[in-house]
Amino acid sequence: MSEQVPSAAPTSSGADIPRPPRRLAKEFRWQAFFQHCAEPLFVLDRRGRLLFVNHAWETLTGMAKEQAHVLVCRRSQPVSANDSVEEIVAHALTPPPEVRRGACGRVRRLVPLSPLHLGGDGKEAGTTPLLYGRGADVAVWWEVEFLPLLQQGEQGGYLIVGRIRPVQAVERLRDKPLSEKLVNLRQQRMERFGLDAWASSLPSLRRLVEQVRLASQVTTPVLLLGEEGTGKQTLARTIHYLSACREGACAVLDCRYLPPAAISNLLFHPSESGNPGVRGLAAVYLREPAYLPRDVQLLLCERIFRPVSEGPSPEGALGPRIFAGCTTPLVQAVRSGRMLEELACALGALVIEVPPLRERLADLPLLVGRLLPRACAGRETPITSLSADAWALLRSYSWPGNLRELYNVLRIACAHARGEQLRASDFPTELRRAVYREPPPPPVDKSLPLEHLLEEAERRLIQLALQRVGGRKARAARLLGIPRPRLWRRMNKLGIADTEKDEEDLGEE
Amino acid sequence: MHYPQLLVYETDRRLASLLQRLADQNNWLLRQPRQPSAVLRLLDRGGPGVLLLRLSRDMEREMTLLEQVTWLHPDAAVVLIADSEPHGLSALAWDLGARWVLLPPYTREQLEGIVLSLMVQYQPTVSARGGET
Repeated sequence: MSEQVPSAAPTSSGADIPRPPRRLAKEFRWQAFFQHCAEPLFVLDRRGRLLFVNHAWETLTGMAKEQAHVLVCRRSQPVSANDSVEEIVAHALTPPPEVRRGACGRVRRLVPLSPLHLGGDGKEAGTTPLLYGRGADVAVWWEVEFLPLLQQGEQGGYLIVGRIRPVQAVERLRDKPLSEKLVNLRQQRMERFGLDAWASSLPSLRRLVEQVRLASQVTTPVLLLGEEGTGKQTLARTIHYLSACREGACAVLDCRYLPPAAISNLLFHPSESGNPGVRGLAAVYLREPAYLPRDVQLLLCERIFRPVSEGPSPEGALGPRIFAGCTTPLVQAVRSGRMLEELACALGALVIEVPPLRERLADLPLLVGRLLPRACAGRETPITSLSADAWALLRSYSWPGNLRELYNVLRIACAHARGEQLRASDFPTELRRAVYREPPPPPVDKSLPLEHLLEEAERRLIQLALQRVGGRKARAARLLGIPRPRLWRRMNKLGIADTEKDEEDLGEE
Repeated sequence: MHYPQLLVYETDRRLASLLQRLADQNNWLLRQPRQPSAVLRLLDRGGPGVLLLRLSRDMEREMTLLEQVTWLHPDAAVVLIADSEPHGLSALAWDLGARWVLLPPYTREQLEGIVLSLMVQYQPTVSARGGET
């Protein structure tokens, strides 16, 4: 295969884009490196043109390299089974925005291929891609990893190496896909859960942001610990929308106020419940899981501890990722007998503590600035500022209801305000009375050891992986996605005991 | 005193008539707004509550309303009810913040069970600290 820049101008997305310099592509001998790799690999230029695909890629997609070379992977709109194979593949291989800015990225894309793409009967010899179900209209997920290659002085990557990993068959295709307006609605919703909303100069929030980044890179359960109204649900969605599974949905289930049988049926027996809603769910946020009955907690444990299957698997074999939100530490729930110890252990693999608003009063101007447009939506004249006495009032209050209370208070104040500025008299009377009754909260000055916390999270992840695979380090390393020597080194450094013999010692590999 | 309100947004009155007796028994205010703006106004003035959104054929209007309600009134619990299951609909509804999605086949008991459970959180007093976000 030659790594020449394709000469054909027509593209699947219809864009007429000038060709990249031939010199750049020729500097790399992709064929020598990648042609015989077992994994499907490809190389894109900065404009999204496919410069190179290896043999495994051709086998996976059923497309010849000549077809691939005219593709431009810059399609953001989702595709359906009615689209052509070229359009579907172009969409699947489109780099996410962060990759175009030069960062590594990983994204999971739905690939809705059907026998229509095989010319009707699905029996075209020699071109049948591996990802098709046997005569079934099955959609599969591809997990696509992007590695931009940067040139000194360049802001975005000028070449992007990518790898495809088919994850699983997820569902049979049904009707036509959602309209463009609805897809845009979801996109708009996703953009509201960016990490920007958590930007702060406070060390506790900077640590939180780093923990969120870490959580978005793994697939283990995450426990979000914090008082009522601190934004745990928002944070869970933020992690989900930053993760590779961001194109799947994230459901929020309130274990206090939803019937346990309904939750159980939705998560574990969707076909019996008559509610197939779990299909397409990539993540579930369980609010206060200690309220679940013990049998459901046991099922949840089994779901979390079940080893992750590799490669395509039957529908629904991989369950959604679990996020849990709690107001009290799980130890208390275990001691009081409300939560199984096994479930507490499983959920506590990665714990993120969300600070209460009274510990981040320095962020109040930022938070008010973000919440105010939302709180005064629908007003003819938007509120643009707060008077000095209003700021003093907000700073003096202890905010037991945290961000939720702040939003509700702003909404009430916006409803009462007459001009473009909020005054102290616009705020609820209870708030003003409470401020006069209580002294101002003391300033908080806690040490926030980031290194220690990250090591603790790493230790828990390694322990969880070892527990899942019965202590076998080779499998644990595969599960964690790191080489085995690195796992050894980290175990030694973190003081994790090696309790089992290695797989090679057992003669299994 | 505020009574918890149960809003039903649908093109006919089928769901509302199914739930009328339950609302009477539990002292809920059963309201049937016909416009999205009326739904938002009722949630603004009447305090949080449960909103049952039944999809019509043109579901874009209801899904937009779902997005608006869950964004502007995070204390309100929205249950989406559909008579059919277009591809990807339930996933979109969960993403937009629905507390529950009821797809066919569902029974009257299932519907009442979900509504009863969700209404528990809305006590007759309303404070700025609210219920859920």
